Amino acid sequence: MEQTSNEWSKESLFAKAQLYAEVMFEHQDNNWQFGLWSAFVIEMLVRATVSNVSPVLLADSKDWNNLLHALDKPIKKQKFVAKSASITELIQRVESLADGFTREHSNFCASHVARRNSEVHSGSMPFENLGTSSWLPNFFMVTQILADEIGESLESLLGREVAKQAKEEIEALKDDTANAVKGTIATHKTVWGDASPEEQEQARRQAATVSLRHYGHRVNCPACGCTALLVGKAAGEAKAEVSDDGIIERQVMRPETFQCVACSLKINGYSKLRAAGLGDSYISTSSYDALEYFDVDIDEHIRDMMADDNNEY
Amino acid sequence: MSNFFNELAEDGFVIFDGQSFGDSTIEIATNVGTVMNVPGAKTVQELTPSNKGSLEASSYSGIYGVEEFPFHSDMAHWFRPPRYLLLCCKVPAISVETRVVKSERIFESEETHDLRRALFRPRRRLNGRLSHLRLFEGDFYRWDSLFIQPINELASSLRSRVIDRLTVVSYEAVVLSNCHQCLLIDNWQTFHSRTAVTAEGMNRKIERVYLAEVKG
Repeated sequence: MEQTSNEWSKESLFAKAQLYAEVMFEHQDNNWQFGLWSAFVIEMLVRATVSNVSPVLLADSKDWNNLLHALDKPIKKQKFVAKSASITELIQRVESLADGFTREHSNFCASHVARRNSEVHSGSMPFENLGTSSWLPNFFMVTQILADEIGESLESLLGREVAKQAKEEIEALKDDTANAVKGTIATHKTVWGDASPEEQEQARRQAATVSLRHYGHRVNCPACGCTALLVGKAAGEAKAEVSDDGIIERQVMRPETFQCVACSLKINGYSKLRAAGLGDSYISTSSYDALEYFDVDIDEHIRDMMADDNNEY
Repeated sequence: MSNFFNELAEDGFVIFDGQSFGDSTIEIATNVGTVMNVPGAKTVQELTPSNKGSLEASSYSGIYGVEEFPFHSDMAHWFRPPRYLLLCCKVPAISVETRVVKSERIFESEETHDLRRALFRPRRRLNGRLSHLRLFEGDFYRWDSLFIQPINELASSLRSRVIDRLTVVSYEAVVLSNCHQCLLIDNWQTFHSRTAVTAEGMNRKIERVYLAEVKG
């Protein structure tokens, strides 16, 4: 029987990680709040992992009353406010406590927390327009390791749908063969360099004409620098908002294929695209007329306003 | 005795003659299991019907009076509620039922991970703190439609589904019709409710003791 939970208990900290993750995924990938909340998720998971061994390990060692607080023991010191160790120190503690948590993971957590500190303690905007491919796969990798370590899972932290996406990102991160794409890009670059300036100019113009936003996301080709197209698949739910002109729907897309008309470079698969520096998710925006979006049949509404049908007179 | 424990494990409650275990409620409770002292309450609590308004709105009697109490688990707003509650009849009222339902049945169609992600909290701070609560904590279930509140959207929709299911669920109805008759309820595996108290049931008197474990 316990009336309340210890605020440094694994249960309390993991519950907060769940809530923060929920808020994180309420924002789209390119929104700065998506990144900021992800850093809060990492912090709570790191703390939950340390607490899973013992809440005492969370205590700031400068004052032993913090140890008493971790043990839920009464504290006689006046005006005492419990203080836990800094997140940077706790990340190091996790490195010693969790088997699968390596120096690489520790470095990622420390750099992500540094972004958070920069966000909340300065006027800079470290999460604004931060490409997801540079951090999101690592974020998922670390959350999986930490969740496993405390007997939880990506599903219990993020929900089944996001966990599925997370596992795909983790697989892509682990895919060492994806780096072979860099060789393919280098070959295309060489061939492109062999073409005459006139041929290059003609191909560049052709690529700009053919690569329309309507068909995908326009990016610069990593081999020739011409305009090329990324095509992706929807990740998560589309967010709709009402504007003066109707409904604007924004959908986060995760890149799946790349094609450059100018140098004929083609890349298939997220892991290869990520290795090629083309892995950032993008937003696909669609505008709808309100009547079209809500599938409103005006004629039917007009008919409903008439008197009942009667073919007797 | 094995029947006693089998019934308790299988149904989540057991009815028995208290006199086989002792004369007073505390003696019965001590012989059945390990008695718990609940902060701010007597070890043996006397339960009698009260009209709404005569008690504070922080108790079911203060809120519902003699009307029906909805299904709940006792102290659901605590981080870990007491495991068992023992009800000993002192003055019977045959018109009043205690209804018991196995909690597992209410959640069997829920997706495990969503159940874990649906977070609640006590409606008021307890010892100055608010704890995160889940309706299924891995080793026990909790429910209270008033004293715990949803924190997130998953919890709000789960709350609505639980309320809907509890209004149509089939339950076991127990009437404590004899003095010394006892009802031991597993507060972690069942939810219980009380029917409305009619005029002739106003003398009903039950004594309640919380137990941390039963002696197996």
